Amino acid sequence: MSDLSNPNPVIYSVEDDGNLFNQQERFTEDEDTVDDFDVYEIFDLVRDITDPEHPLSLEQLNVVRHENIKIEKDNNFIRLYFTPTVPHCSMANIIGLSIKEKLARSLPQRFKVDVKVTPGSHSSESSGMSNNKVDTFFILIIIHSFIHCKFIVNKQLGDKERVSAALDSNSPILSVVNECIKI
Amino acid sequence: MDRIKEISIIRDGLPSKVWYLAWNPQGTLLASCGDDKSIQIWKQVDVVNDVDDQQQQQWVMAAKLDVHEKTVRRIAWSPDGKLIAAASFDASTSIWELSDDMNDNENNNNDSLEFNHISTLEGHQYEVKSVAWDHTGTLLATCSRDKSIWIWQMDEEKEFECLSISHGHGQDIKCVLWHPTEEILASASYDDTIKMWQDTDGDWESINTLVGHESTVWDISFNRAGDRLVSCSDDKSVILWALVKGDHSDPSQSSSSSSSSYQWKQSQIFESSHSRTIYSVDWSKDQYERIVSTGSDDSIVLYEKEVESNNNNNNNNNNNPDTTTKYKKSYQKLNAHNSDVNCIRWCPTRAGIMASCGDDSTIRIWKII
Repeated sequence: MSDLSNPNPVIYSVEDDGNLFNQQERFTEDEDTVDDFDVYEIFDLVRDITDPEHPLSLEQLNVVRHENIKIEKDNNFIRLYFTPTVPHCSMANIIGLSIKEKLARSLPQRFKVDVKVTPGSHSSESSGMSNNKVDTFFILIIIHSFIHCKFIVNKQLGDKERVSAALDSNSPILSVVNECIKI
Repeated sequence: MDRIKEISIIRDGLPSKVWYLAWNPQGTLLASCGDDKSIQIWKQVDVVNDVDDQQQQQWVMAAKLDVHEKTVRRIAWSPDGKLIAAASFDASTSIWELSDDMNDNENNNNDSLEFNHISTLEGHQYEVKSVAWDHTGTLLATCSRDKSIWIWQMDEEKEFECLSISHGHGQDIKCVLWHPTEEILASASYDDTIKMWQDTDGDWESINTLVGHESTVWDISFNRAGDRLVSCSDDKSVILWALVKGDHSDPSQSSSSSSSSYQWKQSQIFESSHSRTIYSVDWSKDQYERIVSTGSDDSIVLYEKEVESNNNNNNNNNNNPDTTTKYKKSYQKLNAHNSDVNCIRWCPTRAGIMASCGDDSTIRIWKII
């Protein structure tokens, strides 16, 4: 297992549902009322997706956070930003595809879902490293690869033709994604 | 006023995501394809509505062609309307021939058509994204995520031979399209550029690169004269390009090939023409020469010529493209489909009629009024 791109991920404690919001208030009892989706419901759909490398959830790894989900109810737009733990394009792609696919399978067709890498998410990581007196040149390379990777991942995840091809029948990526979303 | 009116809809028998549609050159059949791995052929029948006695268009499935193992991405009819080529994510391209028995079937009032699978073209490493016949019907071009363009020649026995494998794009190639009258191929790519290709001593080489879009170029269409091109992109813009002949090339312009005898220059841009990715654009070949675009915002946008009043101005500057007719965005049909619209195409024989398809598993026929 030495080829893991992030062998020692930071694990965050999972917030208790009850602390986030009142479970009861999320659903209207009147059946005729259309339920508005809120960020917690979207978050509920993606929090238990597992990292392709660890038996840990995206919530435990702090990859997805409810405050990084934006919903425009008027035009049914959902934007979800995720924060990869490491600047590894293929891993970030798998995580992004898993989130996209989980939401595509769970949500009504009218929703337009954009999944992107969190803007500016990597600057805090690199400043943390400089405190550890890591070589500046090394940091610049890491920052560069973060930015480069983010661009590549965002463009690929935004290309529905490539997403469809990656998740087409018998695709090896599809089985990895199914594993992550536990289908 | 609603200028784009839905006159017919096909709901049953389509893939859940309809990726592409193509009219046959006679404008009597529609071919469609998508994520169910098949090609569907649709035939128009006229029925009389019991309620108001009006004739209505209805489309019935005339054939369903199954051979691919993955999504069929694009399809193309040969210029005589007898052959269909289909590009698939399974990395192959299939060729189908309309059976001669068709006429008998039609006389028998049978709506089904028979197509024979006559060939499969293999060689691309990854998904084939697009396929196109040239105007003579003897050359076929295919392109793929493997960044290559293959030119195939069909002989009289309908055997295919690969003439050339061309590289030049830095990324996934989304579509290929032949010039309407010349042996020039255009391609659009994930690398944000459009390229023109020509046979140079047996190898098809890039002769022009059109730089202007800021993200993936999804679709392109020539005007009927072949001296203008329209493109649409993930950057939400539609760009009109014009061919400038002669060697008055301006080095600041976008073409990278200064030696070629003509250049494609950006003549007009519609920025933020849609609110999301634009997947499809088509330039009508009728006298109106309208342009239409569609995409991920579920809408259809119509572009029409500005009223021409500046013929004198054109003579003042011969270096400018002679095709300076400006276009204006004249109408937007919101919520044309219930999800992403993947393709829109003008009917080749009836002015003002077009068909679109999308992720809502429908094909819709529209009329400009």
